[in-house]
Amino acid sequence: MSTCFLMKRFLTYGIVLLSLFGYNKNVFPQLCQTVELVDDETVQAQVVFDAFSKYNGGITINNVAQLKVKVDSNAAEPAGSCSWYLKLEVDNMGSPDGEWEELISYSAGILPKPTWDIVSVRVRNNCSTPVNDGFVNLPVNSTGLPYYIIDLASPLLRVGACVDNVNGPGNYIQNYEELYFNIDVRVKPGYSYNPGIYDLNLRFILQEN
Amino acid sequence: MRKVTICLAVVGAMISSAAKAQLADEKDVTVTMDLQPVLELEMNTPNQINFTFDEINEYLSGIVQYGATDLKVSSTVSWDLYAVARSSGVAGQWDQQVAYSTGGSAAIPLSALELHQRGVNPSYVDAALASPGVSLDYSNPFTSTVTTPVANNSVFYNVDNSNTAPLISNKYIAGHKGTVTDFVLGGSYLTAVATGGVSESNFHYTVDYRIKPGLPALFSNAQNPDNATSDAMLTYAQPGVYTMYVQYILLEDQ
Repeated sequence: MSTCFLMKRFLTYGIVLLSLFGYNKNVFPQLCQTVELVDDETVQAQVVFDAFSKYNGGITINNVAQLKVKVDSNAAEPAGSCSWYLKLEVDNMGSPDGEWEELISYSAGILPKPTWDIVSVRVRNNCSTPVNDGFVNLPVNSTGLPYYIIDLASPLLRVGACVDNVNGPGNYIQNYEELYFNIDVRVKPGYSYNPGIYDLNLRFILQEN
Repeated sequence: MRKVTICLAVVGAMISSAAKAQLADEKDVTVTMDLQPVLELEMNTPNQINFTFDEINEYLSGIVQYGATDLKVSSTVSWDLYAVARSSGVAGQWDQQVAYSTGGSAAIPLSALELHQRGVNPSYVDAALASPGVSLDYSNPFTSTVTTPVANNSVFYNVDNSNTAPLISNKYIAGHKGTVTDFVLGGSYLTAVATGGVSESNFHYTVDYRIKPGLPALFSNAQNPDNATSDAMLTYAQPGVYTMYVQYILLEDQ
């Protein structure tokens, strides 16, 4: 066999092996066996602005929803390889970027539709593991999203650490302090928007790193 | 052998790409916001403002009731504010309650009442372009001229005694007819800051009233809302008691 023939064979098998094993270390089905938000039915929250004091001070709904995290490691994986992150996306059902979806308009006025940045969201748990556990304003449009509540691809921090960005396997029952999140929402519209009924969907996504 | 190699490569690529999928779950919170329009006009004023003319100098110089009405606005939408004079009898005229004499005329025009607002109407750009040289609010001071009538401050009224909003050449206190720039953005006197060296913000107006009959009592300052025709009486006013009322109307810009 010539040297050229051997090199071709080497390259061919090399590509096959790389595609099978080398390029992606996740050759096994998953690093985590379960990544789940328990009780993930959509929550409907309504805020009614019918008095000037509400427009001025805004309306806050505490505990509007809970995120119950349940993440199991895949037994076949080496310890420490399963971790997750939590992020917030906004869905306005196809309306222009940065605007709420208009359901009804009360007025033919020239004022614009409300924008996303009148909403503040707070995600908190007993250990304050979210990166920011105070109220955070939504961005004016989708270029400021997603908002990471637990950072993407941060180093593994096992439950029990009770620090920022805990992202190891566990479940909200045994690790309530770190994996049970409460969500508060505040809406403060001010006086610059057209009266009407509007919808905005906040989507909390739990995903394996 | 080559075919087998290619097949392996394809299968490998499929396995590799499938392995990239990551487990995920999501939960949605849908926020429904009901923005109801709120317009609040807080008015501090006596139920009745009396003007009693029992001295010659009062006929000549008129009687002024300073700061008789205080208007404070809170609105969640863009708004206009206007005053409209009304009566319950003959359209455009005061209601005569008592006549002291048989002489003279009882047809005193509603526009005999003059208003002066503290602070300038903050927004009437389009109206000013459409009606150059016309007084479009009540911010001009009361004139003391005796001989030449000045009609800047005559109160607006409708010829049918209704409270229909003034037209583009008529007076508003704040904002004006038209939706391009002639409005005041929503806000409240509670939070607004005064600008332009005045003590009140765009959400707070104090109104003075004046009636100046003159001698003879023809009310020469009275002017029709068209801002062109004088409403001055041709025959002197019949002595007696007369009443009328002023409505202040806050409405979403239109």
